[in-house]
Amino acid sequence: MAAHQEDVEALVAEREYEAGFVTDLESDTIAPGLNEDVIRFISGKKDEPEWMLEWRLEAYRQWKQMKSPKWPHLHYAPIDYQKISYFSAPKSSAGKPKSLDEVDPKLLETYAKLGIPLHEQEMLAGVEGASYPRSNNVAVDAVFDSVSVATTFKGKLKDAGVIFCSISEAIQEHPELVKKYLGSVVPRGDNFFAGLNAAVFTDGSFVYIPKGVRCPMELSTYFRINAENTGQFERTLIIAEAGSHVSYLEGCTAPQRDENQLHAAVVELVAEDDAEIKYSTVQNWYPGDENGKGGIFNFVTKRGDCRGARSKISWTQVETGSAITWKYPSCILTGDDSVGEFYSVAVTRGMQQADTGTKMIHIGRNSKSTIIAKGISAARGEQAYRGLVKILPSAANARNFTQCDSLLIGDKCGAHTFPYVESRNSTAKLEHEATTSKIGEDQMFYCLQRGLTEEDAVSLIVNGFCKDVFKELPMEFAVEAQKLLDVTLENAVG
Amino acid sequence: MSATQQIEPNIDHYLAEYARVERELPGSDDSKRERQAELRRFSDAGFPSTREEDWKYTSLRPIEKRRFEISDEADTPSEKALAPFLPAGLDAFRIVIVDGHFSAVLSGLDGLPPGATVRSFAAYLNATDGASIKAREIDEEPGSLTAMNAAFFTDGAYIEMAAGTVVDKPIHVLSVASGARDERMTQVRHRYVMGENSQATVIEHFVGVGDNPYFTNAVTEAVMGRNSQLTRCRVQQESDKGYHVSSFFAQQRRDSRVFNHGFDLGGRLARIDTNARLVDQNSEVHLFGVYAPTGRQHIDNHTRIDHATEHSLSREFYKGVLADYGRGVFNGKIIIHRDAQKTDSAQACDALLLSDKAEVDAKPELEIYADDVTAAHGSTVGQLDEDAVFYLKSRGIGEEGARAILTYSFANSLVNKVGIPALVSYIEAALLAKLPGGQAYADLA
Repeated sequence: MAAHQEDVEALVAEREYEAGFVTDLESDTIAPGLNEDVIRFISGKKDEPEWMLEWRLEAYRQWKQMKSPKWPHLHYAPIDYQKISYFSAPKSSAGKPKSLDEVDPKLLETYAKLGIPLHEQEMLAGVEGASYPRSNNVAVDAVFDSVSVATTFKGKLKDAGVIFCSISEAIQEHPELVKKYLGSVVPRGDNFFAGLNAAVFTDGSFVYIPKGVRCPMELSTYFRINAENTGQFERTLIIAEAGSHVSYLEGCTAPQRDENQLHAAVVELVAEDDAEIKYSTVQNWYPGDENGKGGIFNFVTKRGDCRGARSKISWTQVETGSAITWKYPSCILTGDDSVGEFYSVAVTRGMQQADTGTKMIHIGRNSKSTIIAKGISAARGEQAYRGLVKILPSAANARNFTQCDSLLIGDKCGAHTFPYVESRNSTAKLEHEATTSKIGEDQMFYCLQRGLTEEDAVSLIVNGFCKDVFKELPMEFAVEAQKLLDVTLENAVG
Repeated sequence: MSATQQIEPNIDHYLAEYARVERELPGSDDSKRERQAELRRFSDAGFPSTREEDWKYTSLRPIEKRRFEISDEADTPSEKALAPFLPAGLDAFRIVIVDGHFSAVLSGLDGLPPGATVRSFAAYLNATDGASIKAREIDEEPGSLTAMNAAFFTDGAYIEMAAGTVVDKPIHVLSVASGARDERMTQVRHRYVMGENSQATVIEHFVGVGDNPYFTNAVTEAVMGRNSQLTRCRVQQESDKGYHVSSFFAQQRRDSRVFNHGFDLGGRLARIDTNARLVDQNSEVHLFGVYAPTGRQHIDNHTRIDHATEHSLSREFYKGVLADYGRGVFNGKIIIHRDAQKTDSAQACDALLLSDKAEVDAKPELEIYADDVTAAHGSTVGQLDEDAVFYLKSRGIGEEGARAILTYSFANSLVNKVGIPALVSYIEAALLAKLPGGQAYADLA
């Protein structure tokens, strides 16, 4: 039986990062370094109005006063923020292409390789040979390094009244909306990485769903880091007006490089009365090699504000990539009867480290939150669930259920749980439970004697472990997530 | 960090206070040097601040802004003042420390079996060559308040069980703060040395009787030999002007067992650190705690269990009942170290919020570095079940009585675990006296 355990570990040990290629593309990249001139350059490059530049500069001034957080259960060498280039754009995108025909074919090729369909007509469910099959009922905003290269299905969305474009475009076209909502959920001075993002963010998606509209298709953004020594700082803003509904998907990859690259994003969601936002992420940034060389440092601030009564925000994430993940998608449950959900599967292997979880801040009466977090740690991976459930005195009858489970594969990995519970209302009910286990030998034995191969057995058990989260993902994403998990743990468990 | 750079006038006060009392402190010249090193550790670090993760929910400002002094002598309270704190019908050996000084008059140690030593820690230090102020067997986690205690402690209980000694009666270690004078501090240090195959039960009792603000800073070390068993019942009933900080460190050898029961009923502010280090196979630690902050009390329990090697077991259950403006904090950390395979650990913390002005902050933490382990924790916060209240009312019990029954039965399971009938009744009475509706419950019973 011991031999079998080693096989399992050997299976987890190695797998190829399929999205690790580099697109050879001429790009417009500014020299590394960060100062007010760099921010002026970014703002100028994007032809931003004066108020936006001022907003960025103020953020930069606040950021300079802040210190990088020390509390996460993460170990990494200090990041030199002067060695990062804060803007990189494919040269061919200088003049904004009017149609896909004008987009650099190399870019299209990149996305095709990744399985992201940018051609509206030609899309079929599951592009041949791609690891990211998508059905054609998804509108995609593709962000390459610092700029958005294409957004599909704009016309169809416009008919429904939905605004889906890059944030740079929104600043130009819908300044009143951006002004009203930008920074209203994640303020500039919120935390170190959010401050940095506010100063230098380059692109991202903007979604506005008007009153009573159910978005006719799923919206999706695909982030790709390509250039060397750059950081990606995107900012996403989603506003769901009263009674509206939207489902939004996010995916990411980066080339295989020996040095660490920084990704510091901010996502803000606003849900008014009766609105619902479903936000799903499959994060597959390059995780570095098995010795911890290279990989993306992923420091992300995601927060949703359930402002309206009966509003709902649901976060679902599958985190398989990045050398370091620092991410706490949160919900501020301001509205009465509002609902917050967090479903997460996080996988760490090789030398990956993840410190992830959520915050549920209950303010409104009868607000409810559910947290299901599943962590899988293999090889020398280190994983921490860090969550906060806070009940303010106003949140009468608030309800929370939290479950976090960890699965350990191998005796060199770690799994940690840091759940914070703060309750200040005597009518609130909170539950938290956590378990840690490994793949049982009897489970394996049972599967094997039924004729399954070891790999299939592990896949079956791991997928069963994650089922509660996968079932929350939109169909296409769920398939993708399962596949991703299989390749991630391929050769990991045996 | 900045705390060390700021000029801290209060730290200067304690440096001066140490200089004032050093000559009177027990121990040899060598141990004075140890104390000086500890004093430096304390003055370098200062009082912990809420910016530190371990002190996030508990501010020591009220202690920090006062200037507590060591009592040069004990203001021995009258028998009448002390009587309510002696559990009725408790047949026990008793060692009493008043204001940090051993009181031979109040203690009763006759009839101890051979092999059992129970004496004043100061007397042990003064009489024993090479005695150290800190147990050498214990890898203590450095903390500035434990360092402060090591520098200042005046006395405590020293209990040593020779191999194979079993004491059948509990040992009542009673630490009294007379509160007779303003702003006094009691720095007590207990050490329990459990030889191979020995067994003892210690009731570590902290009480305050006077009206003046005071500060108790206590440290207990337990050195657990092979197959030894220690049951420690810590009953904390400081006065409502008392500030209480205490730390417990147990280091456990093979097959040893620690049962630790904590009851935190008193004190304006109380912070309790309970630490167990399982360094050998088949060792076990069981931590049980009940805390009941009412009025404006603040009670903070921090526990840490280190599973340092394979095949060890831990169980941990804490329950909090919070009323009025009471504030409760629970932080339970379980660390399963690399190679600590086959660890079996379970932890649960539940809190009952009886008032909208009360607050509870719970954080059950797991840090796991080994894969073949069983580790689970659970935490709940809630209120009385209205259906259960209705059921009791339908049986003819008044609203207040019904709530009192349910409130008390919530804590009851952990009170009963103590297993010493006289002590169980005593704790039950003390708990009922402070819980809302306690009188209604007593009337029903």
